[in-house]
Amino acid sequence: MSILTFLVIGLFTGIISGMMGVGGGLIMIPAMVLFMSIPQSMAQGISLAAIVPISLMGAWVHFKKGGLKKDAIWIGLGAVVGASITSSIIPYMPISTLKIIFSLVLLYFALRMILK
Amino acid sequence: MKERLKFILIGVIGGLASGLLGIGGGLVFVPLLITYAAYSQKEAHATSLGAIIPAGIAGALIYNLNGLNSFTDSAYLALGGILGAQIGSRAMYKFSNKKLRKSFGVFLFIMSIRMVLP
Repeated sequence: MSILTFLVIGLFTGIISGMMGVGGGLIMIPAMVLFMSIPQSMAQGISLAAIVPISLMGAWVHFKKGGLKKDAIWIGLGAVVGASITSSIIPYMPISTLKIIFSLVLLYFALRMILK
Repeated sequence: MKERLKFILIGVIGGLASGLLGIGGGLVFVPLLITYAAYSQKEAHATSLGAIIPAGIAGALIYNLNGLNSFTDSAYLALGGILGAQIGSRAMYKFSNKKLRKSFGVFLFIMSIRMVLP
């Protein structure tokens, strides 16, 4: 049952993010939290691991077409440092705080889509 | 050297957001690359995807060490996601319009409010 739910959420996320150019995390995290009652921190962890193969596929296509610039190495290096810092503090943050931070970011992008 | 430092800094900022929110970081990388590195929208999108991979691996591993994910669940999500992206990116050219974007914005708006309600 949950396998099917994950597949459907993934499919929905892929279609929407492909059409709108929005990152998948913003769609699949609230979907897991609201429809599967997965705790916010867990949903974020599941999302991060799912993003790796998805971006790998996307990056490969762009790499072959030549749109992916070499600067990605330096950005990626910095990003590993940044992501390691915040990922490490997640277990010490209350779920309710994580939810508020996430929904504020989501609210910002929702309003930008509506108003633009 | 200065140029390289700029890209590392952009990476750190996007990475911080990625780990905190469980997202890829493209939301941060794309606008920063366009504004501060004179990237085109397409270049920014492509390069950001490349940078997301190492950030996602680092974040996912740390979440995993803390018992905060399951790689099998992520694999099903990714499988659906890869399939969906094939459909979505093709459909983009057919139905891309303002109305659709706005209605999706409303959907996200409702989700953001619903998330903080008990």
